[in-house]
Amino acid sequence: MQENSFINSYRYILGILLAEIIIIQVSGVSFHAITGNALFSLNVDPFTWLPFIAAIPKFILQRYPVALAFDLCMVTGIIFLILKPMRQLRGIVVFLLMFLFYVTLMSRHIHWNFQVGMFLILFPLCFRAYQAKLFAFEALRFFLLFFYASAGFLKIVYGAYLKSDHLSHLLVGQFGPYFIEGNTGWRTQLHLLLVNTPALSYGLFIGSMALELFAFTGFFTKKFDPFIAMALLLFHLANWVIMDIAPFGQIAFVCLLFFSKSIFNSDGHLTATLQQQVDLEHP
Amino acid sequence: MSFFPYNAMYSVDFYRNNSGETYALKLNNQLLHITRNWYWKKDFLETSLRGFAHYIEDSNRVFMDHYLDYKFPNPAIHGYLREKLTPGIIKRNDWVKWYASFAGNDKISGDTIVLIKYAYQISNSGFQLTDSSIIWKTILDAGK
Repeated sequence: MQENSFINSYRYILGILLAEIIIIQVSGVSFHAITGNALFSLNVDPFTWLPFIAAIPKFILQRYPVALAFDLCMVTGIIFLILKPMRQLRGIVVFLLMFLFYVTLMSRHIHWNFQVGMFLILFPLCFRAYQAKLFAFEALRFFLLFFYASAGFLKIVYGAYLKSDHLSHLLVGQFGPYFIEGNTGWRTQLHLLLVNTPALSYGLFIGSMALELFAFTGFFTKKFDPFIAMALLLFHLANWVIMDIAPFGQIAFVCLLFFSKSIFNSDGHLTATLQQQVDLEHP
Repeated sequence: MSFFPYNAMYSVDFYRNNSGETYALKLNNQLLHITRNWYWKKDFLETSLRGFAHYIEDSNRVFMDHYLDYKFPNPAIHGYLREKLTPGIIKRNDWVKWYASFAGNDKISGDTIVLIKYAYQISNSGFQLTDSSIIWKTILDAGK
């Protein structure tokens, strides 16, 4: 299949995903690192139940060599996918591996937010037809926009924007272990300042809401997609510094907005090269 | 939700005050340090310990136990899902051995492990511990 902007875009996205997975594994979190951990807790999402009904996480985490093999397969799978992003079978296999990694990790981590992108980003590569891949990419883009815009919107619905001490209260729970261990520094000083200065944290909270709500513009035009991506990355960076919630596992997902313009024109139609590709496939 | 783009994270302030709680493990009366690890490992150590503490405080139950009780009253379905979707009764000593090892600490038989819940508040004076209580205590031995 001819090289084109979709393939190249996905190579970059997969490269970012690979870097994220390596960062997570090097930090010490992987299938093989959590073998022997029998305690897990699931949420209400039935999709996350499926691997547990099939007893797959239990099978992996009771066998160190199997867990290690899954870790290696995940990394090599992404590398193979970078080489040939259009191979459907590779796409499905890596999607399932990443879904399994996400579900297994989160069931032990017991904190399910902000990592869902690590497997969703592979969703378009599970389809065979080129046009189906493009539709799936478009669907994924809307999913991302909904995911972040709903976060801003629900803060309005629940009236959080009316409470000047909302973020100050939320922050209190974020740095407890650092103080208990006496591991203090500029971030804990900033933390104390924000907790004790609600006006300052309220300003940051409204700013973060504005960054999330900016995703709504993506429903009407693709013109601002790179700016939405930058806004969301800024939101995540602030989250990391202020709330100690790092975005590793979600960055590739957000970065897909940098590439939507190379696939679609700002008016929402396919670029000329891609339209030719689709026409060749479906004359 | 994995396949539904609904994100209500931090939309609701459940605490409405400047008080917080955190958990820590002591191995032979020495605090097991976790915050100097890289982000993901630190976060994993922090949240999984909280999950273990909640499991103990809730008499060997996790969220899904309650959810299944409420959502699936049919005994056959309930029993099947409970077997598959909940950890059941785990060996606590094995779990803390795994945790200590994951945190980078070797443990040997005879070691004392204590799970502590700390309550604190943050004010203009800074961080202040207000309470601490032992949630669970065990002595590791070769047989467990």
